Amino acid sequence: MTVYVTGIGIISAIGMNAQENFESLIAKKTGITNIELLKNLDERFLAGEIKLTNKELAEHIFTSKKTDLPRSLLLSLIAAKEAWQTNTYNNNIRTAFIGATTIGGMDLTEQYFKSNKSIKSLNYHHCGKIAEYISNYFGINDFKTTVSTACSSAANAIILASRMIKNNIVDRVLVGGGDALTGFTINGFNSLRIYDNELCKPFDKNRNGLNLGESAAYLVLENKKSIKITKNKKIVKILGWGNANDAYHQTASSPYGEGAQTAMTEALKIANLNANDIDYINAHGTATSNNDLSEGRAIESIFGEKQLYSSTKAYTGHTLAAAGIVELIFSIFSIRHNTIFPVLNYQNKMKELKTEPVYKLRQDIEINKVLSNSFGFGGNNASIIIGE
Amino acid sequence: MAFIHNYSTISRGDTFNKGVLYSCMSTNNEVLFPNYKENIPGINLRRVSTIVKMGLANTLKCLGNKKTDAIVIGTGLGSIHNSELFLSSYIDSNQHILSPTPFINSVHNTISGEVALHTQSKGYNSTYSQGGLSFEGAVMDTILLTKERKQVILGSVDESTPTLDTILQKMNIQHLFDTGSSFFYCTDNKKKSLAEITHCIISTKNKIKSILFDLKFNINEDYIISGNSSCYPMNLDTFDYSKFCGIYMTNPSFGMQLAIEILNSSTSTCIDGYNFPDQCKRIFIINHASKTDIGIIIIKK
Repeated sequence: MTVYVTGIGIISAIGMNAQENFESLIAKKTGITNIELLKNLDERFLAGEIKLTNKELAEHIFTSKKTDLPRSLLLSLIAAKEAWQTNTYNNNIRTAFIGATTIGGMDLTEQYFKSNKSIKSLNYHHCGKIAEYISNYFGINDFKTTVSTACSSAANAIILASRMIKNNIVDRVLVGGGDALTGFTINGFNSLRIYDNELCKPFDKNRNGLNLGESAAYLVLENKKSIKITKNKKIVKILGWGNANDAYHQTASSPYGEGAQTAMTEALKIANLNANDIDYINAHGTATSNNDLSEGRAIESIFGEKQLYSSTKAYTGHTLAAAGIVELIFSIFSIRHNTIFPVLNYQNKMKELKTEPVYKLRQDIEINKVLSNSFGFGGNNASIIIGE
Repeated sequence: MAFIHNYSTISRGDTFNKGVLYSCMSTNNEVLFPNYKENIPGINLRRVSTIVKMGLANTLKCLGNKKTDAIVIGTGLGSIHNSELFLSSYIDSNQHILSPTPFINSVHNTISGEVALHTQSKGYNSTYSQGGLSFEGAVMDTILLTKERKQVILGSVDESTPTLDTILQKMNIQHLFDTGSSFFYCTDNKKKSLAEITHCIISTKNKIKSILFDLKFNINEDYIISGNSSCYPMNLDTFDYSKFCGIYMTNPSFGMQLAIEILNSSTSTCIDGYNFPDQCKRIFIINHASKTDIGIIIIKK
């Protein structure tokens, strides 16, 4: 059964909606700046911060100023609304909600422990709260779950959603991921010494780590039966997916990205495609020394030296659990507009690789099929292929 | 459909060595951890967190000398202990150099990652965290994975901590959470299987009657068990097993092993005055996850 994307929604440091995100990408505009809104950090950090307070975000959604909701939930609601659009509850469409987050309501938990805020704020701590809230908000009640596989969460959420549609368990899925910036994650990645205090430089010889970002991104996935009823426009198809584990180290990838190679190969197999059918790869490309080397080698070993690839992390920052869908939406833009968004801040070729990432905006080629990578802690590797 | 070939649980009493039915014959209040040194050979356990140790010991027991193509785990809160450690390390402003270890261990998929690393399982790997419905997400994935002809390790892990106790008390939540973990080895092969997972449903409470009707619930052959019916009572004849494992977000996994053991016992089973006769065919594990949501897992011999 074919899986169609029929709705997209995104909020990130480079835009409040899909259109704004596209405009920033094409203008090569980064959203990574000094952190202004998130308080109580010991050092100066650069991050893809959305410059709206929780109050301002709430005003986009509610008539009242709800300030008691976690920031990841507010971001998720904005992106989910944009993706869901005119979809409604329908008794004849079995609909699931599949979310993705790593921190859930950790921002409110921090505030509780730091400033002794009301115990009620801990009601939102666990990762499933966002799914609970949003599925109730839209009246989605045929299935709900939340994937939490660190930085590959949203990609794995799409994989589950696609398999549930393929196996005729549900007809329509609202699937998405959301992670706000928190002291927890910024201090966490900084403690691992992989947080760059300059702008991150994916696939550059002198790359020095990642910048985090905050975002929420959602898709509506449907089968043909559902589309017949909803009359939603088909945007792209989810053609293939792969999930594999590196089983190498708690946080680092193996030197030649064995897990990444398996995930990409598996995705090609399910899509019934050859490596040379892939026009462009939106790489995970976090700009850590370890990821870009291992991923670069894995791409070269499967796709050869002519493969076009880039990373969009230097636009939005690494948006953790949302990244898989943020970058899948950017991949949809690549197909729609025959455009490759280049890596930013790129200067020097990595000596270990034979290839270089795309570092200038390309609009001279036809792009029909894109593979998007998302890797995470715990050796998690996920790849998704989309096409028209 | 997913056929279960092995199981292992760490809970109150000696469930790890004797199974859950045995431990249900008496009331145990303390979680009894297995001898980890014996059960997880070849690893320095000193820096391994409780939830990872539970996950590893259960996985190795389920696997024996078999291999797995997929690992899926449900956890309601992940390692609360490590989350607390890392939170307090940076909130306490005297600490300028933070150790990354509790941060890494606080990530929910640490358990499935560590299980993959230790067993060198390079296949599919995922983690679900949906509050009181976390295990059901992993069960749904397992049903799909066995359809894809994969051999699956399905598990659940949750832990309690003193801080969590204090918080739950402050929130006026009736029951404190317990520690518990159950794992299963599932394939698409019916031969020599212990039981079958026929359905996994996540829905809303108002639909329960119509769901049971659609599933042809038969009062003479089908039995309902629950790990939290006392939290949200319903007008259905239910055996509540929470007395034996405590309340925690993924306790339907304890119910799943209990169901398998009941269905495999050669005579009728009586637990705490509740009788499961010989002709019991299916067991419905009904999970009253919240005021509105419900999870149903159906186990058949």
